[in-house]
Amino acid sequence: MSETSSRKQPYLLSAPALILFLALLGAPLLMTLLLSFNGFDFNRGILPEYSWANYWEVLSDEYFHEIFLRTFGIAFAVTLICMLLGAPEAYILSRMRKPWKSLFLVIILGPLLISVVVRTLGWALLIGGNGVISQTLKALDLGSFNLMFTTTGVVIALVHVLIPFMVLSVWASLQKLDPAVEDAGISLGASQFTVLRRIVLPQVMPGILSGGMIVFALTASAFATPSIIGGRRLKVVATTAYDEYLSTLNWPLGAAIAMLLLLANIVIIASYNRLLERRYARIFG
Amino acid sequence: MAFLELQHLHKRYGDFTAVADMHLDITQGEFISLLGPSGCGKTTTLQMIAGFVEPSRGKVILDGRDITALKPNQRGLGIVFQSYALFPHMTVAENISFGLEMRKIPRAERRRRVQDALELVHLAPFASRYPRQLSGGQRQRVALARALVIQPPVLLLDEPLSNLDAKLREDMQLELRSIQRRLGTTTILVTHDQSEALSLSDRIVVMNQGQMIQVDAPFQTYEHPGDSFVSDFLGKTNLLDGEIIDRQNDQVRVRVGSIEWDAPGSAQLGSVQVSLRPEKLLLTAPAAGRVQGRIQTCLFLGNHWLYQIECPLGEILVTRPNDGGDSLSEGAQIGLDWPAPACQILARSSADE
Repeated sequence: MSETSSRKQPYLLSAPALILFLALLGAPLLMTLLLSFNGFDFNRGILPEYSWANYWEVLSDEYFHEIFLRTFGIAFAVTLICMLLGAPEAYILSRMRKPWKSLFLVIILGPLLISVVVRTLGWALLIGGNGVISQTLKALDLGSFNLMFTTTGVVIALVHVLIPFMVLSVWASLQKLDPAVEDAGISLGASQFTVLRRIVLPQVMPGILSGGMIVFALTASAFATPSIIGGRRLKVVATTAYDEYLSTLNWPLGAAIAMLLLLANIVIIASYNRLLERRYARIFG
Repeated sequence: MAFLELQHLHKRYGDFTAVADMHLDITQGEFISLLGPSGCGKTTTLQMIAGFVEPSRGKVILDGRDITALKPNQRGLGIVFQSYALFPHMTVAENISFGLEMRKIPRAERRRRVQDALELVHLAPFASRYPRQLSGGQRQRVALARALVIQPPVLLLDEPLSNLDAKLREDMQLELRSIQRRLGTTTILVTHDQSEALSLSDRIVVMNQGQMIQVDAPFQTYEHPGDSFVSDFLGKTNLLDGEIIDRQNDQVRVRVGSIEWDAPGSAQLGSVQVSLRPEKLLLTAPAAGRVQGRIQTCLFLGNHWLYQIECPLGEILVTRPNDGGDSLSEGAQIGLDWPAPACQILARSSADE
């Protein structure tokens, strides 16, 4: 085989996947980008003109500011809660004995096997005004309770949906941990807690941080959960874009909102990733 | 007086006995090796001393104090793990300093002692490197420095050299021995490598199937193995099934196959095992010597030759130092001889029964 053809080979082999990727992701994304510059009129529909008007509208309107702030606020809260719950969960899981370990792993990953919509509707049944919790409280004469259309409700449901990603990510870095390292810490006089804090935690930190990145990105662009629990009263960026497309029929504005969300997500995640790499490249390679 | 006493230690896992009646007195400054094949209970014994495994029965007494119930982080022993178990997110200096921090040693003294430890293992220039930037031998030395810097009463080494290549292993053996001599730290080494145990220890504890088989100085253990297991495990040997057919005073008459000879010893009449070390056998001209044979295979091993001899005793290994002369060729007829004391009469190992 000649050298040129062997150099081309990897590209040829990955061409089908690449074409699929370009056709199914690249093209719609490009079209959305173009669309976001189009004008719009309620009587005439999409106008074949190009301007920054849509972007200007989003960036200058307090209404949109609030939605963007809420979205990233929720994303930040969900990420933090997933870290605080998911990391200990993964550690406890890794310490479990044989039959329990796989059983609990399945329970934790279980939510991934159920449709997000179904799971979220389950939460709605639980935390809604006429939900199980509220009715129990009423029966006990302890007042009523409603987390539907509240930020807290959205955060709780999103944590449940996304925590498996955090557990998996931390789990993966725990697998790389040499169990003798903990014994070494103990033999040097450290307590179990000190070993966790000074030896285990720093080593699984990359796992926690990359898990956090996944959770953050998925929360910021989440649609089903905020739309069911938050509804129209508690809009996030994804549901706002959806409404612009399907209720107002202002596709160009919807596209501009979607592009801004994508851009914000990329900026946050890329800078976070750079920070991570700089911090850990020297230690873990 | 014994510094570290293992008093009748037992460890059972369900029906399986990992360690049975381990009883050993170790004096201060002694270097003891626990030697045996994998699964012989040597690591379990070490773990019981360290406190990671709780004995089913028996006590561990350190300097007159019963530490059996003490947690591993209260025992203050230095441990070097087989995988080194360095903290990958800490620099070499931070690794070594960790045990001192746990002991709340003031910063200035900590820095001085870390520096001393680094110099002890010749790693001073590497203080600010991370473990993954070090070679295997360097990591090993960091692990050693980390265990020694807390000035432990006892140093426990769990197969510390098994991950190093042969050349480096020899260098580390020398270094380990000289550091141990200099500091005088009582040391217990777990190993399956007989040359490591022979070269490093003051005494060797040979273990098999959870039992202590023999406790002796390396030379004694090698020259006077207690049974055929020890003889076979320590160094190479030719183990032959034989019979004692006569005995008088300090002399016995041995028969292996059709060959009979006299050997020193006081074994009972009956079936025994006979050990002939390959390096103690002599090759003679044909028709001379005790047994006649033929060279079947000849291997050149650098500093010595290894011959496999076909003879009435069976297949016998003989080594001969490489003195620069020509080797004997395969197929050559030769005689086999040995001085009377080279032949050892052994009880059969209990494991063989």
